[in-house]
Amino acid sequence: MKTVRYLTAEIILGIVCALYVVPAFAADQRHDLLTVEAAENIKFSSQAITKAYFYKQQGIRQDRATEDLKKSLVLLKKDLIIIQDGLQNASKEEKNIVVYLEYTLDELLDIVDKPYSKDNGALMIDYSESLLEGADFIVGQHADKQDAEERLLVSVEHLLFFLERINKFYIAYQAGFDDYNNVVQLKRAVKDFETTLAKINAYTEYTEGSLASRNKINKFWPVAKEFFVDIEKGSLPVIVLASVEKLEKELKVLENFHHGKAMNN
Amino acid sequence: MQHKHIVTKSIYLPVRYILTLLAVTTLFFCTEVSANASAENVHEMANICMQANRLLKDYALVGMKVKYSDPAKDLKENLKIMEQEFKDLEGQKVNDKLAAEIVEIEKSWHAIKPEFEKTPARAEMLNLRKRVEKFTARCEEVAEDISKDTGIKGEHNVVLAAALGMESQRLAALYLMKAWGVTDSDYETEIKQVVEQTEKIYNELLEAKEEFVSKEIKAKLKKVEKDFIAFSVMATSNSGRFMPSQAAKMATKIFKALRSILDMEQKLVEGKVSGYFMPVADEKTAGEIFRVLTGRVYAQGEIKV
Repeated sequence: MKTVRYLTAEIILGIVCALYVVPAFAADQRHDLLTVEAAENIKFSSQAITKAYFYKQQGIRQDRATEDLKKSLVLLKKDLIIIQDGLQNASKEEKNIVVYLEYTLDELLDIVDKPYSKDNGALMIDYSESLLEGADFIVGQHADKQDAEERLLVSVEHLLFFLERINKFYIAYQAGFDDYNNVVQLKRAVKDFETTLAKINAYTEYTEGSLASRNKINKFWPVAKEFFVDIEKGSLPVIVLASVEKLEKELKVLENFHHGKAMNN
Repeated sequence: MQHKHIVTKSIYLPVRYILTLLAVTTLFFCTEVSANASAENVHEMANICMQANRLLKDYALVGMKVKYSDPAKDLKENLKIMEQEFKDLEGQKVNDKLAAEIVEIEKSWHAIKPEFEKTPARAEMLNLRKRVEKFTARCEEVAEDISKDTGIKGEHNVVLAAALGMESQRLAALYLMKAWGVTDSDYETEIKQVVEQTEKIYNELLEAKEEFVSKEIKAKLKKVEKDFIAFSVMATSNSGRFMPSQAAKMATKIFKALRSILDMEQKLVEGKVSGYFMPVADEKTAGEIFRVLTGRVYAQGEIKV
């Protein structure tokens, strides 16, 4: 009789604990996912903002660049708020990183609408790198590295990000930013794109439509790559932009595919 | 009448002796001060310590072809400023020990200086950084020795504020050296040391008595702390991405803010010291004070006698 009572008590205690712990755990996971998504978005926006800034400044597809710049800034601010909202239990290091992101965004907003100068252009490149730096750290702190589908989704998002990054350094180079660091970073982004694309190529469960997109990417990438790495000789900002857009269009098909898979997991 | 005269004489005699003693004491302090270091000497040496790392930062920026804020021009101008600081120090009267220390610093700077006048080379950067590191470490010690010699209470806080400025430029120089692709096996240790040293100085200044570090100065220090946090995030990252223009801007922003804090700190600490510790009198002026005082006693004594 006593054993039955103890058992009942343990079961009740277990249920009560589960009622408290499971929602808290689920909320933590939801918060992590939201934070990771926001940080990944910041990584993309950070590159898109500076890319648009230089296209606008160089007068290449100016209206579109102005619109892209405005939209990316709105998204960046929104995503930073999501990250700030989840800071209650953050470590000192993570809080410092958020200070760094806020600081950099303030500095960027201070110059983005000011008349163009070489100094402001140099700073715009660096601010985009700083935002990326901070967002990368946040992703590392919250990403669920155990989920294979989520990893693939993140890989596709990285490919999109690398393209924006390559394009940013390319157009900055055309604007006269030909220093050592920018060339190194562009070439590294090209290499990182290829490493990540290999992961996508190893995936075997694509549907017909998404497989067609992957094939198009693989077919076109070697051509586009030549334009990108030829940065020190060529000057083809319109062709580079069109190449990036073509690749991004196919990558978005893959992104939707993996997004659906990750959600159903 | 005769009696009255004797009484008056006996009253004035002790006054004469007291005033003479006072004059001698004043002369003693004034003469001593002329051999002591002045607050100005501390400022000059502190500036030299700060400028050395600032030059190293500019050297790396020029080397990696970063054009933000024209580092090549800054490099040339800062070299001139450095020379001027040494010239200003040469003309000052300090004791033999300090004079020898200043000569030692000047000699060691002149051994490094030609490297800064050459076209920056990546292969030279690490060696140059190590030489500047050694130079600034000794420079800081000499600045502290000079500050102690001034006898000004709280002058240590002025040196601390200057050290904060030096650490900020050191952080920038180290970071930019890495951004240039120079491999330094001591990089992480050095950065850790700068971050820890900065935190230590911050704590010491923020916890100092308000008579030495005012509320206004503390508020300004807290404001600059955000820049330091942002800079240390960049410097401690292992991502392989670098932001040289932003680093240069932040280094200058911190440098300017700390110069303004340093000015406030100097006014606060050095503006409050008691007269005889201020280097207001040289031997000639001291002699003048002595003559005025003794002359007055003598004259008054003569009239009354």
